[in-house]
Amino acid sequence: MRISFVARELGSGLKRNFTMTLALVVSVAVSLSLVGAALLLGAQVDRMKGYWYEKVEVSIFLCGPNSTAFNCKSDVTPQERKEVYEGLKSLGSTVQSIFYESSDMAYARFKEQFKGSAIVDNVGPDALPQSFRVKLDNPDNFTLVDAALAATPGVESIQDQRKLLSRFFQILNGLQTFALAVASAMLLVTVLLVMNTVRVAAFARRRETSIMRAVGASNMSIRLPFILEALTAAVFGAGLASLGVLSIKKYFIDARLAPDYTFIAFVTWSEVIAIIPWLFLIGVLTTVLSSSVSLRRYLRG
Amino acid sequence: MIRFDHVSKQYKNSPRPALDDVDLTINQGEFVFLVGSSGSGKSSMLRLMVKEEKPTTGTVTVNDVNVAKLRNRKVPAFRRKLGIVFQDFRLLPNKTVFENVAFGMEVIGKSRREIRARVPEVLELVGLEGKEKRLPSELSGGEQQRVAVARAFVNNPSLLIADEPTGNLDPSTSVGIMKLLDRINRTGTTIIMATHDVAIVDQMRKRIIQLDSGHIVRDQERGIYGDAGH
Ligand SMILES: Nc1ncnc2c1ncn2[C@@H]1O[C@H](COP(=O)(O)OP(=O)(O)OP(=O)(O)O)[C@@H](O)[C@H]1O
Ligand SMILES: [Mg+2]
Repeated sequence: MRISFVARELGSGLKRNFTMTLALVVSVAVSLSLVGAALLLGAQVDRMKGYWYEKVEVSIFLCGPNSTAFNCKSDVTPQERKEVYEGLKSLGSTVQSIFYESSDMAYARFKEQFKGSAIVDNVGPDALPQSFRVKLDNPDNFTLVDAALAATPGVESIQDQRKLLSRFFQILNGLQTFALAVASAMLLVTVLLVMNTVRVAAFARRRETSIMRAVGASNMSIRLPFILEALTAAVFGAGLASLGVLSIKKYFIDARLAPDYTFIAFVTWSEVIAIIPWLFLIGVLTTVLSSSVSLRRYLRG
Repeated sequence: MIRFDHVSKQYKNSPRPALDDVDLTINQGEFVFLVGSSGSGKSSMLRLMVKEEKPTTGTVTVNDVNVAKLRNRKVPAFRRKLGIVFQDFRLLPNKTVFENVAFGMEVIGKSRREIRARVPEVLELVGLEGKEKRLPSELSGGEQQRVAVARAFVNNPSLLIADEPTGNLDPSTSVGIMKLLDRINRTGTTIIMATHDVAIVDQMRKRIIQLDSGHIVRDQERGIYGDAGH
């Protein structure tokens, strides 16, 4: 068949089934938006994991003037601090790097992080303890550090950042699973809607298809208009969903979240854009497959 | 050429066969009327010829093709050599006369140039020149059937099959359609037409095959309806 004929038939078919096509576009757009959101969340989790697991440290906080821990009699003394440092050194290659952060440095970092927030004015350098920040060859070796230093005088507490993060990541992963589940349900709805739309269209056009069969049109060319209609709806829907995903990045992540949470690494534009081909692929595959199945059933004889 | 070789057709939920051991040969270029009372099996016979149905036993051969053995994939190519006219015209209501006839060529991939050349030719043959831009709703029943005949004939089929093409038309309009089919028959196209129309059959004096309860009870050259075997 000539392209121009197919295009004309497609146009008139879309016009005739306008409301059904519109329903299809909306349904595809909604389900693919959810898929997009789930993929976005997944990319965000990956990015944060990469960013933070690389920086994940064990912090050994030293006693300050206000410490109440039982290891702390008073401010940590230089001698105690030296002993903690030696203790870390003695762990050998488990400890990859040791960084000492004084109260002043901690305060400077704190000010930078919470720039513009009122909390900065209420906290002085004294409130922030000095610490050793230690990077391990393997984050699992935290227990070794803990065992070696927990009872050392001058150590107020030992904190494994990964533990804090893993709980956070659990929540994000849960969110992603939930979004994927909702997206799957919506995709199923879309599949059923496509199948029903095609069934209705096939019934409405049985005169046309009976003529096509009578004059010897191939099965493919009889089915093609229906599949193309569903496909058009899918492409429009996927386009809308893509716009939705891009808007989440521009108007939510970049405009709302990023300025407030400067210490979080958010998904980049290239990661967001990489999601879009998937939306089109999923949209096109589901509609083409479900319309083909429906035609096989309802366009017989 | 068409051959029915001991053909029977038994529909699933039907007490008796629609066709019972039918033997028949129709040669290229013939004009054949298929007559018989309602339910005698005329439409069933035509449906077997175009592979809308398969025979329960026996073989149907059309253009040297054993229809039952024809692969589904090859049915479209097979049907392109046939023209089919229906009692209810089956025109596309939102397409013009020209587009309805062109449709038969479009769906089998003919080029725009071929379509522009052929469609006016056929419209002239059926006597519809000047009405190309009308919609079916703006035509009389006879004119609509002419469009349908034009569409069936546009791809130059070797065989034209018509199931009661005048069933919805008044007598004088029917005569016009019969003249048209006769003209098409003279181009060498075989025509097989099922009908109840006594006047037409008597007037045309063509071969008549009469069915009764799935049996051929008469096969007569240049016959008239009234001879009906009693
Ligand atoms: N699809 C079908 N399923 C079951 N029985 C059928 C089917 N089509 C036709 N029949 C039966 O087969 C017999 C022959 O039907 P057919 O349509 O061939 O008759 P006909 O000669 O064309 O009649 P008419 O002049 O009314 O069109 C009838 O008894 C009919 O009830
Ligand atoms: Mg009939």
